[in-house]
Amino acid sequence: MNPAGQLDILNVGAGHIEIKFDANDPIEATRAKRIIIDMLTRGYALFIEGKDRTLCRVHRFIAESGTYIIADGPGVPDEAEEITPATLAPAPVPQAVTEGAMENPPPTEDIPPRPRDLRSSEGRAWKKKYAGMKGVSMSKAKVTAVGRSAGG
Amino acid sequence: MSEQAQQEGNRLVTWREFARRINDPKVIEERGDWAGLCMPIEGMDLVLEPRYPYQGLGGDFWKREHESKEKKAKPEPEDDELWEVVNDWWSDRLRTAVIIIRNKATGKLEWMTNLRRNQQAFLVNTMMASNVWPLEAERKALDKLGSLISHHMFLSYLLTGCFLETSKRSKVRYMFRKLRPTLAIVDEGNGTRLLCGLCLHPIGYYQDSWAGVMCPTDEVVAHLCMMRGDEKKFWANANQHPPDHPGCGA
Repeated sequence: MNPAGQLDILNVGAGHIEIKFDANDPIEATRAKRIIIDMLTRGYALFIEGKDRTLCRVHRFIAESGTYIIADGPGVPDEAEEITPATLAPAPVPQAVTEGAMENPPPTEDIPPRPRDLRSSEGRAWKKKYAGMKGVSMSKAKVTAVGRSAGG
Repeated sequence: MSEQAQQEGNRLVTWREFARRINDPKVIEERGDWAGLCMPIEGMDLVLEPRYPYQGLGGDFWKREHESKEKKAKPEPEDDELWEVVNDWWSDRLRTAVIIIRNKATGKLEWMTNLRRNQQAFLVNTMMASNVWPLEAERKALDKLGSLISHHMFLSYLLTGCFLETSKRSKVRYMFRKLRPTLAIVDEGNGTRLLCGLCLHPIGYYQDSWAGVMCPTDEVVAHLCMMRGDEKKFWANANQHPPDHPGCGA
């Protein structure tokens, strides 16, 4: 069974949009990454379904490896992993890649290795970004996207 | 009704049908805006979130459209040009907003109550807003909500329009309600106390009503996701209505 991710976007219209994608298909994966980055840029809040019906907010998305970054906690899904540069390495591209599949890929992010001294300025910056966080692959996550609030 | 009139009626498109057609998922993806196009309703102000791409739909869209045509016909001074608002506040005694206005020409002060901001007006305005929600959106949202909560809570929602859930972090009990703000309740001594009503509408809402631009159960799903996933931000982003305010709906 191919790994499939799902993205439900709450919106105006005939119900929320369900986007299902096969992470092994480079075209679908690129499209999904572009949509996720667009959502986060527009200020949408993304939530991953975890254990016992808990929901974990997505803090960031690493496009290169297709990984959602969420805060660690008791409700994180079983698929969540510790964040290391190896965990966030780009996913292997299948042999049969059609031309144009990687046209205009989403922006990538370099994940620096964990500094030896977390009390240094470099260490504090790394800790602020990655400590206490876990990564979930987009191919294994079911995500709900909620738009920005207009107040009430 | 004559046959011709009936045929004409069959060709008319309702707001609901129009909303369904222009917010088709393929059309949305081509446009690149995931929120969809909000429907402005005549006589109601539409409030939109700041980054929504179609800000021109906000405010009283139809009033502006009609006024721009009427002004060309006969330009007359409007009420806004004769009076200005000096101050306004909420009155617990009258249970409505009180507004002080001043006549720009004479300087005379008058007071009035804002009849649009009482519970009865909220009820009627919310019903008016329901004309733009497609039924299949509500059905789909119910399926989504059913996957997020237990069977018992889902039955409670279907039968009473609300369900309770206690936050594991803060121990605050939330009552999620259809077409009403979410109530935050705490245990106190021998009883409970209602803290406030948390009103939050993703994308947009119709002013002086409890209606958002999304169908009611989608808004409940949004509240539930925010409470479970980021409770602190839920409180930060929501308007916290006091229990006796008509906006709270308590």
